[in-house]
Amino acid sequence: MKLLYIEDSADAAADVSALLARQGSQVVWEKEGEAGLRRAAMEEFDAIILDRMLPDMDGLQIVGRLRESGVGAPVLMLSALGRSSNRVEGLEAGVDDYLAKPFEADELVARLKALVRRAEGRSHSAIIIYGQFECHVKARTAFRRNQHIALSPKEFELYRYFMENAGEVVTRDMLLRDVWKMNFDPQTNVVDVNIGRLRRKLEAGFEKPALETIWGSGYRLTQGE
Amino acid sequence: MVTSATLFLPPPPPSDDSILARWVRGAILLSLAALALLLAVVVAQSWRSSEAALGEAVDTDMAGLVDIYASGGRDELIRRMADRTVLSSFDGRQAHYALGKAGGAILAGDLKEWPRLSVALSQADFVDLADGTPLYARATRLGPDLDLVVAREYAPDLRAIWNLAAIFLATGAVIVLTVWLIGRRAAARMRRRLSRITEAFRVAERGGNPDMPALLPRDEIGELAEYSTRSIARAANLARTHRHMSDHIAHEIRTPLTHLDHRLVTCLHTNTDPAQQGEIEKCRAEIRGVVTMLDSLLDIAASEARVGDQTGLVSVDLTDLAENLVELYAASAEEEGVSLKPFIEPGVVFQGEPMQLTRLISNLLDNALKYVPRGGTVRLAVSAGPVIEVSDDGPGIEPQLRPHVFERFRSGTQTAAKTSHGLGLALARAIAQRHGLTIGLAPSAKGAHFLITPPALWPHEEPAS
Repeated sequence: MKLLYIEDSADAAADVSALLARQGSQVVWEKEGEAGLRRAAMEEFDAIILDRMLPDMDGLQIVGRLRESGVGAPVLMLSALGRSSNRVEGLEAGVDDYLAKPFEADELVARLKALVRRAEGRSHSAIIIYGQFECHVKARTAFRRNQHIALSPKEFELYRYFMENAGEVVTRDMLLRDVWKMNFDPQTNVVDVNIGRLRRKLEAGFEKPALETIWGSGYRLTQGE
Repeated sequence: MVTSATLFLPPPPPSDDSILARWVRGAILLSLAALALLLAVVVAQSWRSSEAALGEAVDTDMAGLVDIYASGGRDELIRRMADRTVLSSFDGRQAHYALGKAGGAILAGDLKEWPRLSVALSQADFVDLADGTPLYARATRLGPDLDLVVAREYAPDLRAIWNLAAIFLATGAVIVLTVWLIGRRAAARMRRRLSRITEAFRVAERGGNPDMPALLPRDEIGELAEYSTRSIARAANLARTHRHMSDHIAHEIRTPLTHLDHRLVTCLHTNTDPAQQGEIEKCRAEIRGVVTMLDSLLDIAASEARVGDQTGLVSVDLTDLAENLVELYAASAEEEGVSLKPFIEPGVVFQGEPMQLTRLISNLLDNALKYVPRGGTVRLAVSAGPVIEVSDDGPGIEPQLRPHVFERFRSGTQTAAKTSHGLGLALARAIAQRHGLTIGLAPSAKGAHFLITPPALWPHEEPAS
C-alpha cells in the first residue's frame, strides 16, 4: 500500500511509518495540513492517514478540502481525540475510519487494509467462498465443507463480515462499528463472547479452527483446511 | 436518589398572545370603562345644573307674578302673563302660564290644559303637554278660587346635554382609537425587538451564531439585548473553551502515552523473557485503563456541560437500539449463566444522541451483568415516555451506598469483585441529564432497579439531586 500520513509530530510519524513499513507499505509523511493537501492532489495514494489536531488546520477541515478537490482515497483519522463523540464527528465530517491513539499496530493495519479493499470496490457476489466456507448472502445461510451451519441473524451478520474480510484481521472495534453500529467499546467482553459462540458453531464437528485470535487486536477467518 | 433536568422548551406563543398585545387590549377596555363612567357623571351633573336653573327661573317668575297679583290684582296679572308669554327667553327656555279656577277651568295663559300638579302643596315637577312638549312647572294657589301655573320648556337643556354627550363620546372614541393604534404599533414593534432577542437565544440553542445588530437605540430593550448578546457570547465561549480544553487535555495525555506504548511494544519485541513480557503487557493495559478513564471523565464533563443543549439531537428509535444491545449482550449473559429478559415495546422513539443513549443502556447492562451472580436475571424494559428500566435480582445496592451510586469513582457494592473505575453510572447519569431525563434507583424487593424517565413520569416523590 502507498500511504500518505499527515501528522505534525515527527515521533508519531516515525513510529507509524516504521510499523507500516514492516507490513510492506510505503508511507509518505507530510508535517502540515496544506502540504498534505498539495501532496494528496499531486500523487495517487491507496489511503490517507490523517492526524486531527494539526498546527495549521483541523483534520476535519482537511477531509472536507480533500473531498472538494476530488481526492477519492479513503481517509483514516488517527487521532489523540478518542471519545465516541470525537469518532462520530470524524465520521460525520467524511473520514472513512477513525482510530484513536494509542492503538495496536495490527488494528491500524487491519483498518487500512479494510479501507483499501472497500475503496477498490471489491464487490461481493451472492455467494462468497473462502476455503471451506461459503456464505449465501441473499439466502442468509452459512456452510462449511457443504455442511449447513445454523446461525442466528446476528451471528450470520458476523459470519458475513468475516467472509467479506476473509483472510484479513478483523478487530473488535471494526466489529462493534460495522456489525453493532457502536462507536465505543462497552468495556466488557461482549464482542469476544459473541465471536466465541460463532467460533463454536463454525468449528463444531471439524478439527481445524475457523477463527484465529490475533492477540490484543482481533480475529481472522482461516480457510478451515 | 433521583436526578433530573429539563431539556425541551415549550413552543413559542401565538403572536396575538403577547404580553404587550394583552396590555394594550386591557388598557383599551379600561379606557372605555373610564370613558363610560366619566360620561355618566358629566351627564348627571349637567342634568342637575339644568334642573336647578329651571327651578330657579320658574320660582323667580312665580314670585314676580304673585307680587303683581298682590299689588295689581287679577287683571294686571293676566296682562303681565300675556306680555311674558310673547317674550322669547335668551336661554331658549320658552315660558308658559295658566291662570285658572280651583277645579281646573283655565281663565288665562297660553297653556291649554292644567298640568297634574298639586296646587295646595305648590308642587313643582316635570310634565309633558298633550303635544309632547316637555315642561318644568310649578302650580300654586293665589286666592280662594284662583290658581297659577308657571312653566318653562326644557328641551334646549336636553339638547345641550345630548350634544355634550355626543362631543364627549366622539372625542373619547378618537382618543381610544388613537391609543389603540399607537399601542398596537408599539406592541408590534416591542414584540419584534423582543423576538429578535428570543430568536438570538433560539439560534444559540441550535448551536448557531446569533447577532443582534438592529437592537439599538439604547433603551431598556437595547440594554436587555446587549446583556443577552454578552451572555450568549460568554456561554458560547465557555462551551468552546471547555471543548478546546477537553480536546487539549486528551491530546496532551494521549500523545505521550502513545509514544510510551510504542516504546513498550518495541521492548516487547526485543525482550524474550516471558515474565518481563507479562509485566510490559500489564503496563500497556494500565495505559489503556488511564486512557479509558480519561475519556469517561471527559464524556461525563461534556454531557454535563450540554444539559439543556438541543443541538445534535435526532429522532432515535429506542426499540431498535435496545434490541440491538440485547442481541449484543445476550451471549455474554448466557455465558455468565444470567438470564437477560427484554421487555421492549415497539416503536419507542425519542429525540437524542443515538450513541449516547446506546452507551447509557449499555453501561447499565454492564453494571447489572457485573454484579448479578450465576443463575440470576437481568431485565431490560423500554416503553413509551420513554421509560427505560434495567433491573436485576442480584445482591442490590447497599442502603448506605444508594445516595452515592451515580457519583464518580463509586461502585454499587462494597464487595465488588470486578475492577472498574466506577465511572459507568456517573456517565449514565450525565447522559440521562443531557437528554432531560431523570435517572434513579427505584425501590425494589430484591436487586437493583435503575429507572430512567422524563421527570414528569417519575413514579413517586423523591427529592432531585
